[in-house]
Amino acid sequence: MNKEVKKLIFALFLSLAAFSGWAGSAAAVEKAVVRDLVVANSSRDLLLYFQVGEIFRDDMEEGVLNGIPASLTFLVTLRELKNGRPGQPLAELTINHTLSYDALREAFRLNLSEVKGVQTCTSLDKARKMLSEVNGAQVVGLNILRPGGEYDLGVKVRLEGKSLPLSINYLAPFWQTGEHESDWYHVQFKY
Amino acid sequence: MSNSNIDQDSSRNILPRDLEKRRRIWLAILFCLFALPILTLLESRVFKVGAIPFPVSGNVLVFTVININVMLLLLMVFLVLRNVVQMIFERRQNFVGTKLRTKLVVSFVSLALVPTGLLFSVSLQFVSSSMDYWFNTRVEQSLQESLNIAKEVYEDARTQVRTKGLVIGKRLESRFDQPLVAVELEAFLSDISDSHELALELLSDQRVSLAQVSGPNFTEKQIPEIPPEMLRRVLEGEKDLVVIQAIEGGELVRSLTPVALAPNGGRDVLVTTLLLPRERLRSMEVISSGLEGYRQLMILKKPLKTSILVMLWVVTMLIIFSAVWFGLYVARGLTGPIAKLAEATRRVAEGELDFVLEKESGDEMGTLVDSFNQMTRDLQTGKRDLVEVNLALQASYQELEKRQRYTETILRNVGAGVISLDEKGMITSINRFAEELLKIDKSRMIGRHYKEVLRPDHKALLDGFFLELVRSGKAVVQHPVRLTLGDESFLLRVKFTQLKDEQGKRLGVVLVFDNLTELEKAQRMAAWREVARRIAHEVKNPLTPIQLSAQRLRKRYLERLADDGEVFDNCTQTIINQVDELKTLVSEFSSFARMPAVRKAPGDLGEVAREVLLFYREAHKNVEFEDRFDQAVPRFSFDREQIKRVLINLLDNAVAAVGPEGGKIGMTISFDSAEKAAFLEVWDNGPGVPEENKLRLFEPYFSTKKTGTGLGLAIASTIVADHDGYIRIRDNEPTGARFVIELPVGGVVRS
Repeated sequence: MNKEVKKLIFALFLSLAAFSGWAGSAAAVEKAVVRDLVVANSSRDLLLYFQVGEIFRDDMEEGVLNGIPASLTFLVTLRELKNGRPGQPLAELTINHTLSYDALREAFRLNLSEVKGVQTCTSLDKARKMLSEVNGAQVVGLNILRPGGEYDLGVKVRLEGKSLPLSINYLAPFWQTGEHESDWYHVQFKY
Repeated sequence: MSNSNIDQDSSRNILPRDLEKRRRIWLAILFCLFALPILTLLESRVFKVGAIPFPVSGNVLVFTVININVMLLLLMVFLVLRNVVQMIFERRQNFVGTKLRTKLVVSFVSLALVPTGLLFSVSLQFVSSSMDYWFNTRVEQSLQESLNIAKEVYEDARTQVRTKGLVIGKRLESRFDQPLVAVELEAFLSDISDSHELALELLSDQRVSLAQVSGPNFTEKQIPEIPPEMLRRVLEGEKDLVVIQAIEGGELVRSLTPVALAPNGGRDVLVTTLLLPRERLRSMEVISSGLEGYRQLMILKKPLKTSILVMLWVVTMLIIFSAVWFGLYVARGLTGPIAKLAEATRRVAEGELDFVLEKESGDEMGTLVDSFNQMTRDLQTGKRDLVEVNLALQASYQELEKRQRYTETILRNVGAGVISLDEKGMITSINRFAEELLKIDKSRMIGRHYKEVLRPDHKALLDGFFLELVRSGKAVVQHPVRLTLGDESFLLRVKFTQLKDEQGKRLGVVLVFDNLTELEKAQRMAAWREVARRIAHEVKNPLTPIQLSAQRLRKRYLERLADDGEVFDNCTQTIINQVDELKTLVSEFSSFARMPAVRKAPGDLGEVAREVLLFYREAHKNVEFEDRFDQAVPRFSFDREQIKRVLINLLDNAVAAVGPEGGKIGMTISFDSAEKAAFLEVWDNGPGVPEENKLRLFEPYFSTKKTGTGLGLAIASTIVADHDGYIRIRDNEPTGARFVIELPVGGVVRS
């Protein structure tokens, strides 16, 4: 066989393998969207409000209804802007929302880390809404902020992957865990 | 030719590149085989680690690792397939060893494929069936039924608490249509709660607790508040609202029932609470979690099947490709040396005998290589010897050929006829002299028996020789033989020799004959000349005195012997006349004996002939003379006077032959450019020459005429012979004689 043809075949083969890898990897990462990102304050604290869109897929719904909890982690960082550039993080906050279904009670249970207690509801839509919303999470105390200072608050959402009992998912390496995350979303404000 | 080695050739041109490439392929395949399990292990670690302390997403890392694994697997597949494609390509090109290699690989693959395929399909089927069996709908159904039963407990509790709430609410409405007294209310509710094991609470529309009692089973249980949302919904008119709240000891099933106790229609809410103890809930939760777990596994069923299928497939392919690779490896180990041997054989067949095939192993292949090398060495030695022998043979053959050509040249040019016969009497050779003399075609006689091709008289002659050889026991027999061939007569001296080799074995006979005809003629002519000279010399002298004496006698006594004078006169006159004749004869003899040497000069033969003919035409008016002279006869050198004398002699004979009555005499001159000879013919229509006289016609003193010396034709023959020509007598048609003179033209003289 012609040497050049061999090289071409080999290069094509490598490209396919790399491409499929990249495509697979790319396919695995779906972009969740953060909407209505609002920073407010109470008398003492900096409060955060936002919603997450396009995070809940049909297979997640099926998983939840079959007892596989869906868990969202919200990563929040606050940085002061100096000369227009964000500095070191002033505060880092991690918020966890977990949705599970109680087949016995036919009710959805939500554990929201920023709210005490377990929330229950019987409607999936309501549960989804509660899962993907953060209302009034305390980011940091107002005493940390410098009056007149400019700050950048970033939010990122990550849907944690599913895990199965007895670690059976290790037997199915092609079974997607469903983990995916969003980009960083920023809002800048002046105190 | 320098010693060459097929592997050295290979190594000079192929080994560094080809072996290096093969080594790299081997390393690549080995690397793949080792890297695959390591990377797979790494993948599993990545899953377990969870939060990965790497600056990249876990997703990307996992897929990268998977992809590397896949790539390595594909690389191995590629390498194996490459070898297979190469094998197919080489087979199409009919490279040596490809058929054997194909057979081995196909055998290995078949050996691996059949059980592997069988195992693959059986395993897959087994796993699939097992999973279908484990996750069949009946199991789910039974679990679901169990859950339904568990749910019924809740449902019962809901129904129970709802119903009781309604009943209690009605009783409250009927009992307390007056403004409420708290003590009475509590007492009423307390009775109910104790008897029904409930916890009751009456809330106003302002969420104020009007009364709250709880049964004995609620001791030390903290009853939480109703969620405001629920209260709001009830107050807005929603009915049959039941809330389940978890507490430490179990769960509270709470129904909210609107009641109208106030006379002005204000709405209150009766909260009826039933406790489901933890122990009871635990069983139900076990059922629920069991079903949950089962359903989770159901979700995994398909991907698990797929994963198992893929893993089985990967392992199967690995086994098959390993088999292919192993087959190729074993085949290469076998066909490599065979191919080298085949290549070496081809080169030996092409003549390259001086190389050595390198022995690579000590097994039977090595033995074969040794034998092959020995064979080529022997062949080379043999070839060398053959070459030497061939050269020697060629030299001998060339020498023999040279000698044969020399012998043939001698035979061709020898002035004697040579005819050879083998032991069986087959004619083996006839030289040119014999061919021309005997007027035979050599090609029709060579290889045939002499008895088949010779005339009876010639055959008898040869038989006589054979007989004499046998009888005498001599090796050589020699005789003069007179042969007549056509109209020519020859005297041949035949020497018949027996041929024998060194061992005395008879090889055949050789006949050598010299043509003595001309020699004999010349000898006769010389003898006759000598006789003529002697006669002339001896006779001439006494003639003059005799003639003078007779003349003197006549002169003295003729007149005295008047009466007897007549006798005297006759006698003396006779003496004188006879002496004159004798003198003429002697003169002719003397002339014959002292014939002058030929003095050639360029001339026109036709002119000479015309000159002579003119004279005869004038002299013999009763004879018709004819002439046909070819104008193509060139001028050539001849003795004009002598040729004229020949023509005169011939014409004299012709005139004598036709007689006094006359007749026809002709002369013809022609030229044969091929023979380079001029032919002069003189013919007459006389009686011709009898056969028995023809042989002696040209002898001196032979004449058929009454008068004449008989030397005319002898002189003509001598003159023609002196011109290196020939004179022959033939019969003329229809009658008469024809003398043919052949004179060589030689160098043509251009006028």
